[in-house]
Amino acid sequence: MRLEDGPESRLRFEAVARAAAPGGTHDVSFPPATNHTAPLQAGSCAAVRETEAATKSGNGDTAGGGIAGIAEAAGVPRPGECCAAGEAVAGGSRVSWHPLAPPRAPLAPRERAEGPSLRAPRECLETRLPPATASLSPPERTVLHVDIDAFFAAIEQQRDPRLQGKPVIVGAGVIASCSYEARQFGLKAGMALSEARRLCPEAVILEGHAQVYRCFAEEIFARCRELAPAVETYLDEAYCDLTGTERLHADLATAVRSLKHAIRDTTGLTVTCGIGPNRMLAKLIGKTVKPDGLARIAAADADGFLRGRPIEQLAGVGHAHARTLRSMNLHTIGDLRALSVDVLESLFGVNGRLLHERCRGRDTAPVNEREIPLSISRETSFHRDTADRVEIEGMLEYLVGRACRAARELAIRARTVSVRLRYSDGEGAERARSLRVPSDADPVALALAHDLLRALFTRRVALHHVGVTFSNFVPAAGEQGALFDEREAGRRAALYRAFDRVRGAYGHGVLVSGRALHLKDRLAQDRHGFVLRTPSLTK
Amino acid sequence: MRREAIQQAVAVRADFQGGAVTPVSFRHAGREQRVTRVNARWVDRAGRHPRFHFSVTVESGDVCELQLSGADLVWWLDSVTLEE
Repeated sequence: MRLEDGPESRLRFEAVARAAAPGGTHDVSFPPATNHTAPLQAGSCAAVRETEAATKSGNGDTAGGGIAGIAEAAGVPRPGECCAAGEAVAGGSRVSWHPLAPPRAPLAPRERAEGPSLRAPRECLETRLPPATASLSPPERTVLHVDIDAFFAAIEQQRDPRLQGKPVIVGAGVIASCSYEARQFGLKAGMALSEARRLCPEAVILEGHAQVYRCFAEEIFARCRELAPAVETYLDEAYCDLTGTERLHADLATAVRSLKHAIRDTTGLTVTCGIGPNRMLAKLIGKTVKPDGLARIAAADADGFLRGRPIEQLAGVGHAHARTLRSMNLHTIGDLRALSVDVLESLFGVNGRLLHERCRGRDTAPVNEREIPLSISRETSFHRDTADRVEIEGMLEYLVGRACRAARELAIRARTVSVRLRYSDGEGAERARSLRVPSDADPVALALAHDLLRALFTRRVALHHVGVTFSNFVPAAGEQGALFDEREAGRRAALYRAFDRVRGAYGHGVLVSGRALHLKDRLAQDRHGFVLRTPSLTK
Repeated sequence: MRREAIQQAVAVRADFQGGAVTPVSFRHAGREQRVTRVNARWVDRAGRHPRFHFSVTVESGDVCELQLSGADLVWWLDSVTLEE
């Protein structure tokens, strides 16, 4: 990446005393739960079942097929024969093994003289390996899904008790969240506010306070991290991987109940918890006990639970997929099992393979603390529709700066930058272009964004909305270093690290660059940045 | 509901018992406003110093939002929400 590519030389920075609010719409979308390993996992399970059958026969000849052959060839003792780690049953006798300190053979005369050799003999290393069966059996997973009930609306009702018991809507343009009282009128997230007003004229409509909601969410997720070693968080929900914590939490249901109470005591909010053998089932079972419920499903019950549920409830089946499936007279998740993986793949592409697994209750997607998002968007409507290029370019520069900072915080670099416009007459335009080398540097992304804006903004109509989206990310550490401008790139990275530190301490608005400075006289600021018209309300 | 941004530093009498801070009353526009209920509290940890926010109901029935800055321990009256 060359410095001349971007307008870094033109950057002007201004320190302001006060820092600022979440500018623009913060929309970080994540890839759908992937299930790449499902076929492999299924194969492994089959092998394990075979192994278990052989073990149960009690003859000590574990592991069928090639697995036993591999174990034998490698000198791995069969269960019951020797002493690796764990416990094995052979011929009805139980043999214990210690995971860390296997019994040592008596020292040889030379070792007694010189001390034990640092290089362990081959046989010794091999006997420390666990039995083949132990390494094959997949651990029983336990996933907890925590969903905050009517998140934004519940917080607004907390902040102002006069709203309790009333239908409350949070959103600008469309419903971002609505209280359970509002849902009784048929309102739901995503519905246009005009439609919501028609259905429920007495509803209280609030624009929302994104920063406040984030504070509450962080508090709740901190509680989840006290319970689970791995927590994957979204705006109003979290997945907690509780696999392997059985000894820590003697009774999981009690531990989750304590979590719910702790959340209620500290935030006043209620959460719905679902516990299952994978993410999909944990979320689905939770949906059956909303709000403020707790439900658990075992892997053995998944089949009966899923069979009669509407097809739309399956993860990965949206409106379009549901329409297609219903047109084929497939109405329930159980009906979907009639289709082979090939048919589903030809209908829905890669997603078809996932649906084939999910309709059988299988979901091997892990719980990741942090994963690479599909895209990072920063967008906003203007307070007043504008055709002023200075204002539009300034806003775009500000949004690109926020998106680049988000990418740097996630240690990822974007390859594709897209700019989206919406004119005041409702017409929209969007265009994307890819960088030759993925980048997280403001000048590089900004130069491309300005090119896209120039190409897009061609009508003599005022703009209502502008946004930028980064996608096609690569990990920041995985980039091939440049031969000649390595030093410049290093200096630039250090510069932006410094900016991010300052902005992290004092807010994004403390450093404003280039054309974004023109926004200073036009927009109000708070400690997080410019106060934009549309706060972060997208999920 | 009508929300009015105030953004003024105010003098607050607070209870610091039990490791938690609870506003008891504050002085605004020359009048002592007694807090009858703390509706919600949250901490904004963005930035170098945390900010402690409180939504409180005062005697008049209005809902006010107070903020204690962790940097300088100054209390601010952020907003007042009036019932229309």
